[in-house]
Amino acid sequence: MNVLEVEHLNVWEERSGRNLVRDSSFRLAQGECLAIVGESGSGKSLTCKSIMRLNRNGIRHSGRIALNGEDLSILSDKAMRRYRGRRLCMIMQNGMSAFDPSRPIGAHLQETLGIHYDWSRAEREAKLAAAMIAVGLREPAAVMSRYPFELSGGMLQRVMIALALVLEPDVIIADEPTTALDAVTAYEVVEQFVRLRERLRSAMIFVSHDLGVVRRIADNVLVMKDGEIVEQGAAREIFSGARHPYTRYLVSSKETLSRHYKWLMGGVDVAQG
Amino acid sequence: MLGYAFRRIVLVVPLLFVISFLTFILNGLSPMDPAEVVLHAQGVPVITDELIAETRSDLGMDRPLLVRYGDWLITCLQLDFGISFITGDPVWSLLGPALLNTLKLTLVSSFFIILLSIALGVVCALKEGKWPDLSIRSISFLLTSMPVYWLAALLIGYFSVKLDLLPTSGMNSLGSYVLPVAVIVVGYVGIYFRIIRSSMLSNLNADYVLYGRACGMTERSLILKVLRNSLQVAVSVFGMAIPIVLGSTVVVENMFAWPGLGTLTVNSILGRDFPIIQAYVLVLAVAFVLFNTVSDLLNAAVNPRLRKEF
Ligand SMILES: Nc1ncnc2c1ncn2[C@@H]1O[C@H](COP(=O)(O)OP(=O)(O)OP(=O)(O)O)[C@@H](O)[C@H]1O
Ligand SMILES: [Mg+2]
Repeated sequence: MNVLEVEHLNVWEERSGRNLVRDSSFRLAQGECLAIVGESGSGKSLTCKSIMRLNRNGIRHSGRIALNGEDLSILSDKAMRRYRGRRLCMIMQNGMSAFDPSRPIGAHLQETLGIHYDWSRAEREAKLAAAMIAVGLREPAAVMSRYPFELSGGMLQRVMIALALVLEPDVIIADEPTTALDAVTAYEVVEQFVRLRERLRSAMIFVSHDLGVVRRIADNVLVMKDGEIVEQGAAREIFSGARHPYTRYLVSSKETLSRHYKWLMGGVDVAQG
Repeated sequence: MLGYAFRRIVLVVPLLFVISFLTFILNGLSPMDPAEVVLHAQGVPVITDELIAETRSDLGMDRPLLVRYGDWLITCLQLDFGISFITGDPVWSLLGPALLNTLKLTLVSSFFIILLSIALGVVCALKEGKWPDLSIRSISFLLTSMPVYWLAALLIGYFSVKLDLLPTSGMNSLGSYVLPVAVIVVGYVGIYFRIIRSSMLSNLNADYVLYGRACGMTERSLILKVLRNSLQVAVSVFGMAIPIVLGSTVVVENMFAWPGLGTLTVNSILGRDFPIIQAYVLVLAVAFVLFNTVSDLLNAAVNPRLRKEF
């Protein structure tokens, strides 16, 4: 049974009629993690937003998007809103701008849980605290009383993961959740995503530029270029023998990069030794 | 918040000293020797150099600058700004009522400027690109580009002369407020509602609104958050707007013969009535500082970031 099915998704700009995503189809099985890779502007974010039905005014999409067999496009606005967060949960790229700057983090978390569950305030707080500890935020009460600008990018990313942990959605959509972080923090956050997958049986869409991260977390990979899917398949196969020249280019440039990186690090070691 | 307010208010004190000192120095820049002025005022027929020197020491003008500044400041604090060269009345007896009249005009105008700017800005942002947005923006563009004189003449011609509904000048009834306030409000709303609109729009497109939606929050709740964040910008903008309106009522006051500061100062400048000009500068500068401080405090009350980083 597929948790999410996307068939013939087209996204276009209403005014100019410009096609931004063309005839994109893919599916997500329960517990599966699908990585979407591709250069900047290839339509990764638009694909994610179309699934959530959160495209901006002026951007339209067509095609069938079904969650557990239910077509999302025929849902009323209100019904769709109730699915957001509860069944389709998004994790943003930049934690710093993802929360209302004039309210403490806890207010957002409380409000979100209040929409989807009728737990008491204390229950919500307890569940949030437990989730925060699980993702390595040591003082949940303090974190919840902080304003977004008082926390680091890595902590805010963990807060969003913790919220997903409490919400237990069917699908988690993470759009470049580590791009805004430094390498060490990004590594830690990716590990939290791996553990999130282990804890929940949710399916996950993980958009990333970083093929190293993709190799760590994804079962399947979908490669996009100029709004089209140029290749999809199991992560292992893509990395060992990509069919499409663009994918081979991506993988090889990644490998050149990491070889270069290793050489650099080696160089440093030699210099130090 | 209390700590912030305290620190912010303490900061005002040195600022007020600097301002008053500069105004005091301004006094010395006037082309006439105060001693001479006093002698003229007393009607002394022949003014000799000795007489001037004597009067200078009588007036205490041979004492060090800072001592004189201290004395002057103390008399100012008692609202004693000297005597008008022209009428011979105490300056405050002229300036006080005029200041009050101007403040009334300013505050009533500012109230409507703020109310209309927020209302129009919010409507335009929520209906961006649709007909309410487009029509409000083009009408305001038309009105703002009208010269103040022309607009005032049009309004007086229609409402006062043709319909005989409103007084053309003076400050006799509530009706007297309508036209001057309308002219001031039209001039400023066009600027300020655009600020509200663009700040609303940038908030509506912010990541936190997207994430809020993605978490299932209602549009109503999100619009409230956007309003709150946009009004933070508004508070500081309006805090600055009130003193600007205060300083710019001169033109409107003269057109409608409003017995306010503007009318008084223009007459004083034409008659070289320096004590009044000096007192006007001082009072307006202090008013600027006070409005600014209040707007900063309001700003901090709505903006946690300011409060915490200061
Ligand atoms: N609101 C919009 N109006 C017009 N064009 C848009 C809009 N949003 C995105 N696009 C266009 O759609 C294309 C795909 O955008 P998208 O944000 O999905 O790219 P992406 O793959 O997520 O890139 P990145 O890696 O930079 O995030 C881009 O060419 C972009 O210019
Ligand atoms: Mg993107």
